[in-house]
Amino acid sequence: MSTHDWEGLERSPEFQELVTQRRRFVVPALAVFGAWFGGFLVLTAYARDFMRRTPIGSFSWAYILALSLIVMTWLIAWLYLRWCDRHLAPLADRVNHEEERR
Amino acid sequence: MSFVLAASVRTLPLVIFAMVLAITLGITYWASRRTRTATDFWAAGRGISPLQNGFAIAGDFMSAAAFLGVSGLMFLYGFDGFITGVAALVSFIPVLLLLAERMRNAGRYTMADLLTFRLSERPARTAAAIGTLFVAAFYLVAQMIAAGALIEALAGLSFTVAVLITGTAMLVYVIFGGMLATTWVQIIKAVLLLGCVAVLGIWVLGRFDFNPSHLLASAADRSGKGDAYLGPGLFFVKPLDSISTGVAFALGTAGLPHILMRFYTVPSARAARGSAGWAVLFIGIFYVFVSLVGFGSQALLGPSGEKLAGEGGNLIAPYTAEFLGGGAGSTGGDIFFAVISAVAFATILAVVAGLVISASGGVAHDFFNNVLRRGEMEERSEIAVARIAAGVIGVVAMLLALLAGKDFNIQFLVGLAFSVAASANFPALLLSVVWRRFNTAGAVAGVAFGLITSVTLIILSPAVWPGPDSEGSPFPLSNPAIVSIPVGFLGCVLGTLLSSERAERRFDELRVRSETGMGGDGVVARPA
Repeated sequence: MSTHDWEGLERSPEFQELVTQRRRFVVPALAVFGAWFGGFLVLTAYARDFMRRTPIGSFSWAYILALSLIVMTWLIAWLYLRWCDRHLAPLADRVNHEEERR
Repeated sequence: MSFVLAASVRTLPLVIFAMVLAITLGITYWASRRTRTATDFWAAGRGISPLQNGFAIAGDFMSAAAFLGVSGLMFLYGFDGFITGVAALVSFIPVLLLLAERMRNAGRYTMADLLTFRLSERPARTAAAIGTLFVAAFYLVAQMIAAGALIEALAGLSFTVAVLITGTAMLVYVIFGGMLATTWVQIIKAVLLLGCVAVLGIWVLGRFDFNPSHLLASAADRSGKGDAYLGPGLFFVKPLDSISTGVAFALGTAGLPHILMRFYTVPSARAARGSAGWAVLFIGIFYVFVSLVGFGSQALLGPSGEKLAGEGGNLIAPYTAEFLGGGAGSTGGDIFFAVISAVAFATILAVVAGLVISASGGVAHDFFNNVLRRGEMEERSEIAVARIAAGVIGVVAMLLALLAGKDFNIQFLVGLAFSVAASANFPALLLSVVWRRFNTAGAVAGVAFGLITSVTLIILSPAVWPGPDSEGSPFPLSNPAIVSIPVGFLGCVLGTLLSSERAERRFDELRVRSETGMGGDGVVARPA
């Protein structure tokens, strides 16, 4: 089955473009995830008085931030799916087509 | 062990339990006629749609612990109960961004397929199979104990009978219906559970004029702890405990074999990421409602709920439903109690079936076929071994659950499953797809370091050593993740650098295949 020249494919400009485009989304998205969730955990552990405060009605900072993490997860997932369909899938198709033509 | 059925059997929950069993067994019969090849058995023929798989993944995740456990902890300790729920949801970001599509493109049936892609087959696969079995075993025993204790409390059957019924049903699904039956049981349960939690959550909110702020205020008020109830610190008293538990859940999913396996059941990488997207939507909605039920149960029942909820608060959700339906003894109360109980039962059935099938993959596909027989086993015998393995694993899990008994601390087993997944499986899986230099010695050392550290630290933790929930244990935290995950990564790095093996040539192949789906199983190249 393995008749493909994997090393050559990996170095092809089409494939490198695909990898670069994926990284352009994944790295910042993971950074946002890490900072947001990490920040939430650190506040939960070490800023408990702050987290107990209720800035909006009886919504505490803790509950507000927890709910914001749910929204963040939805947002990142939705943006990623859109990025894949618009940018990554056409690039992956191009790599596949180039290979078929060979 | 007493085989007395029970002292106080509740009829209505039993009738609904029986209906759940009948429907799911009917599905299994249907699925069994469509399960012939190994791809059918482990990956449901790769014919599940993204929406269906999204429900099934959500189903795997919305376990009895997530529904009853989180609402129970929130009832007792307020906000701290919600932390594991939020962490479990965000854990899908690394799964979606790093693993879902790669898994689908480069693997076939099990988590180990991706891990071993470019490494020496036998040592790496043995390590991955051991990681799979440990996670599945701890998770499975925990769920079985939860099932027994719950059914005993909810329907009045004895613990032994309840464990035997759950275990037998789970084995029938897996052995006869394979992944197809497991998936549909999972989908049905996910829809039922999501529906129930939504109705319950909205109803609770309705009692407070649909004003969540009002609900939170009365919850804080009735808990007797004021605003502290709405903030952290009541359950995870030590700050590092909340961090370590949060990290274990957030990174554990990316190492859970039964979740990762679900990405093989869809036809393409696009479908794999789509199904993770649906799962994130459903699980997020689920936890929003669970938090309303958790806070709301305190606001509605207050201190009077504590006796009903039992240790750990696990039974607060069905009792809240009973209260909303009109209270104990009323027709409405009985019906709602029974429905919620039956849904909890369906939840456990589906989750344990998913665990057994992933463990059978670890034994039959990874260990028997690829390690012992170097991948030369016929498909027919591979499935036969899988069915026998599922039977053995199921029976062992039932026996362990019965031996451990219902008073065993199940939270510690689930924590163990997540820390082993995050510490042993996740580092090796991640590095195998992103680090060119990574090699077999790194994978084996990573799994070994992560596994040994997390298991040892759990044994030395306050939940276990020197006695249950005692003072003076050698390791102070209830969850070891904050130590054992870095140790797992360290093992990967040290093993890699100390070995001269180069696995870089196949890395190019893994990269191209995992990004494009080229040469994958069941991946059809689109016409030019």
